[in-house]
Amino acid sequence: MKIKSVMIAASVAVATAAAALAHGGATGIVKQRMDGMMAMGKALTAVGDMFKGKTTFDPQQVSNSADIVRQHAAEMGKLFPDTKASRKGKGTEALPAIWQKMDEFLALADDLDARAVDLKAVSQIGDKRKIRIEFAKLSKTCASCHTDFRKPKK
Amino acid sequence: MRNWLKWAGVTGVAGAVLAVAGYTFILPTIWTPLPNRSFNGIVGNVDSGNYLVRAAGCIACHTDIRNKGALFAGGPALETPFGTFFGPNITPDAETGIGKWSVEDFSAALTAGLSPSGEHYFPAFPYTNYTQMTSQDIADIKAYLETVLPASNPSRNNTLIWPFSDRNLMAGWKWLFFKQGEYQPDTVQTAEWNRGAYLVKGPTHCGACHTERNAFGARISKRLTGTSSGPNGHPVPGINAGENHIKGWTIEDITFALQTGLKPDGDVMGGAMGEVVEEGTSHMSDEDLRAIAVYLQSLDKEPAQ
Repeated sequence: MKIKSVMIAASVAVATAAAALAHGGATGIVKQRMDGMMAMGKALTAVGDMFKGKTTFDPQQVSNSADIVRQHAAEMGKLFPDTKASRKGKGTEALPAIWQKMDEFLALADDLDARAVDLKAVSQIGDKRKIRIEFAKLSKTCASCHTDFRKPKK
Repeated sequence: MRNWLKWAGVTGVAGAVLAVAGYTFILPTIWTPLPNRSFNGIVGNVDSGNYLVRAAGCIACHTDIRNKGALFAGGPALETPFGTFFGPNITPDAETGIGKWSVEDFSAALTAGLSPSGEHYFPAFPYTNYTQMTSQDIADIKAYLETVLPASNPSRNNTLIWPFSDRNLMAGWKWLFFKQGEYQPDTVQTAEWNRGAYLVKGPTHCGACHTERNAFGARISKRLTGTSSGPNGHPVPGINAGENHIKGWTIEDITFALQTGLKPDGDVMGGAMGEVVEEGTSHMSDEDLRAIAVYLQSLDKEPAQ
């Protein structure tokens, strides 16, 4: 019994450490927004995989993914406060440009929300081609924000 | 002692004379361009040109997108180890743009790296790729550029480090590193593969960033192996099927990523590639993107020496 709980505690510790490592050791606000980005990435991949024929096409999944993106887009402002932990926290890939051009940054978050609203709307019609076009627009909003505001990948 | 000085002086003077003579008489003749292409009977198609300027990434270097500059009126700074380049104004403005250029002038710039007055361009302008383009595609781009709103905006001067700032030396560079000529299809491969190879090597000039360059700024691999120091000093990943970055990606993964910026792992492309997707590849046809993917998938990494 005792051995079992030690093992559980140990595996939890290992899993936590692994998750922290996967985010370059990020904690606090940096970790929180990275988790948000990962959740959106997962939601987008679920749709992408359907278009690539890796999974069956399901408009309901598109709608769910759009909801997840909306949820995170709404939090974007709160997740990038102008504090030292937010600007310089360990593992962060955020560029100082975010705080220099906060208006532009937030406008992109609004764009993201608008694109997710559009995507959800076409998902309810179920037209695969239209869904693909709206999905591409949404995905490009992510990319354009990462172009200006995220550190280039090493 | 005196003798030694005298001989050192004579050698020095002789060396200088030789260098000046070489620079003045040999260098200008060391490289000769292929004869100018003929555009007789070729009519540029504006719509195709509009498509091609996106595929060829003309906008990124010739438009200051971030500062809301006029389309093709001149680009933002491009930092390289040799100094800073500024893409010039290529609107049809007669004084500050390329309004006075003929299609032959335009072709000489793209395929031989030569200005209408015969000056050498630096390879930051990827004529080493554009030289592979068909005459039709070149005429299409020229036809499209003639429809753009002329902008009176003098091109900014490059700020390069000597001796790299000397255009005359580019003759030697071209002699050493520049292979001129249109893309020749590989008859063993499919039409789709050849289309992909043409796009990658020619207009889309993927290798301009995805390849390591030597001390003279010439590319040292043909397999898109990536570089630790690309434009503006940023690392650029390898994109052949054998490299880590797109290893395991399917043709659909590559096509979809070029169309939407979304990578198979859920991340999106940012940085310079985010811009390439936004301004360029996301506007390309499914067929062309698929052809690019097919070609990239066929490229393996550099064999071990």
